[in-house]
Amino acid sequence: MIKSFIKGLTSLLNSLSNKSYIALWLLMVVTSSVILLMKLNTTEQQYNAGLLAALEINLPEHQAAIALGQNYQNKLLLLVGHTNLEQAATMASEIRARLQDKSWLASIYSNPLNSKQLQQLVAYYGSSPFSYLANSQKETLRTALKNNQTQTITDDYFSLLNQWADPIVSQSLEKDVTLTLATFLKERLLTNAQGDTHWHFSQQELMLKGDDFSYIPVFISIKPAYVNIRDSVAIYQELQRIKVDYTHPSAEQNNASEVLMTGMILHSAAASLQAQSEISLFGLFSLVGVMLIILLAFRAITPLIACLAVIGSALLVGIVALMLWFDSIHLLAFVFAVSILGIAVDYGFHILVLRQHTQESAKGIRSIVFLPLTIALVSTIAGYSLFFTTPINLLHQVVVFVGFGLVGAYLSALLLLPSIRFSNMGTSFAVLPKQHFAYLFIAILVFITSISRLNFDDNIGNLNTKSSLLVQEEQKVAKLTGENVYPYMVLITGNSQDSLLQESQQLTKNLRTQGAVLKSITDWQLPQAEQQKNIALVRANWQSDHYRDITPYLDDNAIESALAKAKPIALLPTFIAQNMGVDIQKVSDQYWTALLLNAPLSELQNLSVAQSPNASYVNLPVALSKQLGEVRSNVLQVALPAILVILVILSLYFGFTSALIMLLVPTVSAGLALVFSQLFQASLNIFNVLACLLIITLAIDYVVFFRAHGVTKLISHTVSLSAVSSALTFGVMSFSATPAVSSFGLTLLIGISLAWLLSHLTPLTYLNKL
Amino acid sequence: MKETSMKAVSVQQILLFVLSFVLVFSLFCWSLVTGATEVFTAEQQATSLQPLKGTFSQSKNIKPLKRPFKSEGSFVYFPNKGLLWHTKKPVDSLKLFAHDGVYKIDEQGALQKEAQLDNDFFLALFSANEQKLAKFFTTEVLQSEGGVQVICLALTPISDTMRSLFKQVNLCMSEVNVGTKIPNKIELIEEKGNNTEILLQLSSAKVSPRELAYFD
Repeated sequence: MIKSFIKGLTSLLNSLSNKSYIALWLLMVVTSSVILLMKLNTTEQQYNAGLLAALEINLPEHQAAIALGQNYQNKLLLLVGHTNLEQAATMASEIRARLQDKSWLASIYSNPLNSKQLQQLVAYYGSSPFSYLANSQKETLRTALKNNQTQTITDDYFSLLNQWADPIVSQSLEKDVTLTLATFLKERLLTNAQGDTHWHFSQQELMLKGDDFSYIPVFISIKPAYVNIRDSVAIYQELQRIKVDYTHPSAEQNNASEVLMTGMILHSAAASLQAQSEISLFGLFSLVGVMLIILLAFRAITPLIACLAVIGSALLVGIVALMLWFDSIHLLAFVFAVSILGIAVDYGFHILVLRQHTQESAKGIRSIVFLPLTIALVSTIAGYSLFFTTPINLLHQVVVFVGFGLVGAYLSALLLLPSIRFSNMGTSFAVLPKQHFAYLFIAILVFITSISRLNFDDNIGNLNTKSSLLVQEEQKVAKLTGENVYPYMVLITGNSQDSLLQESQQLTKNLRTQGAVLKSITDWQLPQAEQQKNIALVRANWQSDHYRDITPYLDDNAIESALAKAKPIALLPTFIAQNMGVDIQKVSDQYWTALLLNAPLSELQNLSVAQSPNASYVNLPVALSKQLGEVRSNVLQVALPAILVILVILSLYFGFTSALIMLLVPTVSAGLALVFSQLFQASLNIFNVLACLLIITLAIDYVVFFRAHGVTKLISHTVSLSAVSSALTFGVMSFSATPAVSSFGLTLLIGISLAWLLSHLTPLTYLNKL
Repeated sequence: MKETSMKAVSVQQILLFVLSFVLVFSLFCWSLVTGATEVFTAEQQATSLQPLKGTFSQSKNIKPLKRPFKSEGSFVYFPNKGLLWHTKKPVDSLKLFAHDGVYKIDEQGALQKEAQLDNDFFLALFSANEQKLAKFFTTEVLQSEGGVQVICLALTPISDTMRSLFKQVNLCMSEVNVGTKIPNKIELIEEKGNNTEILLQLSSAKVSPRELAYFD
């Protein structure tokens, strides 16, 4: 049935004229170009980078952890260091002035007490200044009620008023003359910020003291609309220029300075720059390599132009499909997709070699290549499609790009290439060694004996690329500030914001009692009932006349009228998130928040978290690594049925025994590729395993060609050309700085080389006699 | 001829003697002068590094408050070491402004570092030293108040943070010893119109060993 279907298709193709073929090809190219132009004009394509963006996150708690971590996406911290503190302050001031007018800037400041942030906090909490109380003041008010004494309340008020230079007092006085708000903000901004960290004030500046330098911070927030790949790269480059301008190594010891930078967006930008550079470099290298191979093989310009048309069509169709299918494209997808150059050009080789070495007509050539090319296309797409079973978004994008790209290449090759005419003989890539089953047997033996030694490590951290310079700076900043750049998270969930805040408040209190240093949303947002309690506490003290020593300084009925207006302030977690980095997010119809800890939980703290009904400690990297490990183990379960399907298809055409031997060549090559990859890598990962799936689908073509057309110089030449071009385009990936890409490329390079070798050494043409 | 040569010798000798005398005398005078200067500088330095004790009265005019907030107390200023500020009324509080920060001193005499701006500038104001003041302010001399011994300066903050706190600081100081100045009036004028006036007066009371101990 399959044979008759293929025959029918071949005769349909052969019934068309040469002009019709070119018209069809042009139709495909023009349609794709029009769609691409329309897409580019109507919407701006979003791009992302970084391995986290490459994964599909399914569990709500993981989605919540990522959503809550987004607050860090638009925050940057620059530490401006100089041997002289005043110089550091001047440099920080210059840097602030230099960035002040940037369109992407949401806020920039060095001193939280001299910033818009303080004004915004005073405005928000000033709407009902008794709703939020400092812990110390709450204690004072409770004690005052209990012992019926006013002295501490009076002393605290006068002490605060007595200070010479207190921006919190002077800014909040207009909103609250009782200084309740000032006391709250002072405790939250100064005591909490200091905690166990190393921040302190010197010469009116918030600063850090290092071994060689005094550092002035520059806190930067980026507008959310600008947290995308294109803008983050521009921001990263701008900051790099600042870094260069203000970093002066210790040539003159007294005038040395440095600028340290931290922020998640910098990693995305660095990864993006790395990916962009690899796309251009690998793309260029592969293209030049493939062009050289074509020139060597055919020694004529026409085949080169024809192959470039096939490659160009593949890229065009692939990009159009990718842009239509996905809203946001991962840049690493393009790095992986460079491989399409090597596979697409194979289709050209198969036809052009026939044209070069036979006198067949265009129709004849089309009839000969139609079956092997279709099998090659279907098997490669089937192989890539297995990536859809993984939770790796990046690979889904690679499948769509390569899958559709190969359809474009397949159609272009079939429509254009059989009619091309050239006479040069070119260089032969044919190799015909003595074939024997012993080679396949030895390969199987080596694979079986080595398989137990394979060492896998699924740690997601090992797959990601991180700029070593940025990591070093992060470590330096963490040491200086005494704070972790990436905090440990305890996630809490609730049906409403209020219930979530209640549970968070209790757990925050418990963990702090047990010595945890953490940031909590409840430092800034309180449940309505809690705010009401605070107002009631102030009211009770006022009713007991505990403010009597203060009232002579205030307008008549000032406290009374403030109390009359007092009511719980509406929750505004987004505002707090922008300023403080602690947030509430809604994921899967539940509200989520995270306590951000400076250190991993102790045993006792773990117990507290376990006792809190809706709280859990989330270590996202560990959870995702575990998920990747499961995917790796599941790949076999997916691959096995796929291999069986290929076996059935091949059996239908070539018979079961032939099909089995034919399948052994790519399967053993893939297995051995893993064994040999282990020699170059400390440990193997999921990308090495996924490469094996591709090796099988690519190498199937080699054995199909040998089996279908016999072991001839011509077929060896075609297979060798195909293997060299694929090995070149995949091999170039092994030089990638991203371990995920380099692991993939290395295994494919080894696997394709082995498959080429084994397909030449295994006596496939004698299989009919078996 | 002999007489002439003898005369010539004696004239030469006299000239030599006069020159030697002038030289020796000049050296003597110079050594006397420099010696006196050294004695004077050492004495002046010893005086200027002595702790000074006094009293203060402070009045804060804050717009949202119905009446000025007044406080008073005593202070000990130890040049190059810090300032002990003891507010006695209306609240009793003791603070030490040292170069590494502000410390609150509790009833047991224990020092607790306060999480606030460390008011380095206040130590600079107390030092009345132009070099130290120049770190924080640009200076302009105001018309003298109370005679030639009192010099008043209008100080404008340099840094953004200081500017956000004060529009201007007026500092009047007088010379208590030769070469030693001490502020007798400090006026802190805020951007929003609030101002704080501190009047200082040196007293003859001796600095107690307990007070001195805080500076160690």
